[in-house]
Amino acid sequence: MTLTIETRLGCRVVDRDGIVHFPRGLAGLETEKDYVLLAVKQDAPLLILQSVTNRHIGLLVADPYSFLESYQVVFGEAERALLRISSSEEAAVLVTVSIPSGEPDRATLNLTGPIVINHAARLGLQIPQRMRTRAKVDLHTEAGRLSAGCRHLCFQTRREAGEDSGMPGRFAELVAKDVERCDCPV
Amino acid sequence: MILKRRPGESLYLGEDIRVTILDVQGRHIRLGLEVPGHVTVYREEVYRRVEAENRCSLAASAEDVMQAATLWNEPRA
Repeated sequence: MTLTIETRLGCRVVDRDGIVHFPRGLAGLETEKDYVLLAVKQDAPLLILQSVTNRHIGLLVADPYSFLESYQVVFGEAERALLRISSSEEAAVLVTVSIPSGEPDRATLNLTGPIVINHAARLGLQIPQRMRTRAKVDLHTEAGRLSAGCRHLCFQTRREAGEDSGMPGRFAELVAKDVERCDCPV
Repeated sequence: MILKRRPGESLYLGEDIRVTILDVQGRHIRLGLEVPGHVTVYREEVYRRVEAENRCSLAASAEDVMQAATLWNEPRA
């Protein structure tokens, strides 16, 4: 079953099965509880976490592991219970991305508030982290650092390893595949 | 509501949450918290920081978002 929603990227038809429920909403957005993941551009690891009820609420997010060799998310019993997970394999992690106005080459990953999703149960939770080391990383610099200068090499590697082209495998089933544009006026 | 407690004394919040003032170490006051399994506990400044980061990630213009995604595919000069 599909749903037609207005999003930051325009009108979209999405699969109802892809809707992720956030029982606590997000920090500062506690009343918005249902979201879908939209790809910004094919083959790019940037996604929009889009509210299904409010077209203006779409957070720019990314898979941190496309950019960082390691990123550990700490969560406690309450978060595990809310997400209904018992092991980290059941969870996928996204982090928000900030872009200084007019400077897309200075996009940064925000590591203080990872968004953790139990993809099988379609449940999500944002878990504030008490950061001890760095809290923000430059998206383009990190990607360059991961392998000899070519920022998309890690993505190429994923593809060669058989993972879903352009999209980290964990998210493939969640990201709205149907990017059909509808005729409704935006 | 403002209450006074001495180290070692406690408060019950509702039926299931207990806060105990443990001791004072320099400028830090150590608190002991007993909460049920479903209750999350966050430091306020951390939560506020996440709120601010969320606002930032909402604020990017569609042009900046598309451009950032496009830059990803271009080899670094």
